Amino acid sequence: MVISILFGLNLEKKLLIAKVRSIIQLVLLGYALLWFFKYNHPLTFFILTIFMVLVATQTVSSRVKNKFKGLNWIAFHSLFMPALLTGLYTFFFAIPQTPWYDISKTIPLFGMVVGNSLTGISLAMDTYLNAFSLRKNEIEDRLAMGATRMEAIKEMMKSSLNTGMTPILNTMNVVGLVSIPGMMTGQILAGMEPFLAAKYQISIMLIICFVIFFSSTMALFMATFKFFDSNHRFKSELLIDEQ
Amino acid sequence: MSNKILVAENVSKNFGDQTLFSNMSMTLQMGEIYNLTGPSGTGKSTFLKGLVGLVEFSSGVCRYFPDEEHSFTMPEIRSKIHYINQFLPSEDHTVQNYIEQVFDFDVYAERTLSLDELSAYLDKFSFSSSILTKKLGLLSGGEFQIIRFIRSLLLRPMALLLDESTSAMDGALKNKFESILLEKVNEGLSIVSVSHDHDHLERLGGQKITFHHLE
Repeated sequence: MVISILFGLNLEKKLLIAKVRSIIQLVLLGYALLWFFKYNHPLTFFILTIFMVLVATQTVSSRVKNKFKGLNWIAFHSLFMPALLTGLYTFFFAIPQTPWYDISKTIPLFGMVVGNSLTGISLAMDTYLNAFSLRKNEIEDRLAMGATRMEAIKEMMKSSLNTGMTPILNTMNVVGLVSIPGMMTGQILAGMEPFLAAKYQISIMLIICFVIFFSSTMALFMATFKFFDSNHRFKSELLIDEQ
Repeated sequence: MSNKILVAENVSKNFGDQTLFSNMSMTLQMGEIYNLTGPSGTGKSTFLKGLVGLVEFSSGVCRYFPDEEHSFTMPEIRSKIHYINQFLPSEDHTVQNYIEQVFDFDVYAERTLSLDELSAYLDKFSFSSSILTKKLGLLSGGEFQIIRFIRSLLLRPMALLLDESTSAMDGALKNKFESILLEKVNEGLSIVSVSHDHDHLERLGGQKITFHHLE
């Protein structure tokens, strides 16, 4: 903040707000978690997960620049379904919990999964919809020459998925060399043996990588079926022009 | 193959409660030429796109090859009836790439690009074969329109729906374009054309369909 004031970056207000917000939010989170841990029940698990997914849906919508009616619907489903399936798989098989819905473990894990899908979906969808709006004529030209809808947008879908996966792939490539992941750092500081911490970190990382791929792909396919009908027509009019 | 290529019956297009055009009908047969005329904004382009299902008509039907036994999928229909729009693509491909990529579509699985045929077409327009390695963005508007036309002809369509597709050509290119077009029409190609260039329409001949502003 001192630097910001000295160099006239005009960031001090934003920094202050962000700091205060994060402190309040994390303290509240602590209290809330403590409170929820008392109600260790599958119903609590589902209520909390849905709440988290709804907040994440809002975030995806605000991060995607080219909006359309039905974006929330797509964001919600592609966040919820992959996260739930991955979550349940994790709680039953990968990192088994007893009981499987043990709120103190599952909710933080689920949060991590949803948080990462959120980033993947936002990036992938933003790239994809941007291509829809910028390369509209090219898509139409390909369809006009006899391309199926998948043939017409294959390239754009590929690069959008790539964009969505880039952060996690970068992370996975340098993990342990440049940075020690936050969760592992926390565990080591809390006294856990590094190898055990690494074991958990590997599971988590693979799960996150999978869920980002799954949720971004699902979002892209849902958007494709929204924008292209079975007669291979591109409904570009669905894009809301915000100028 | 039958003679009838496409039959549009009483097609209309509305946007909300605004009617763009209503009850237009057209029967396109082999070797026929239609010219759509009328002021801008009366829906000529929309009508043309609607003929190959790139835009949905609000009412009315389009039938394709009605004398054929089996029905065709939309991509199959569009591989025989090419709609050629008026926009330059934004992609950074070379000309050869741009031509080759359509041959990858499923509907053309049995076609392969004949480089001899391609260079024969380039010769007809007096283009040197070095144009194939040029980036699309470096072509002039007229050159690009010719390249797109050649790409279409290589796929041997039965009909071309031309949407202002000579707008950027200079006189010499346009003359060559017209003579090749008419040559193909004699061989059975059908044309539906939208153009603001009256001389061009005059030289093509054919039947007129006029679009009006609706009150």
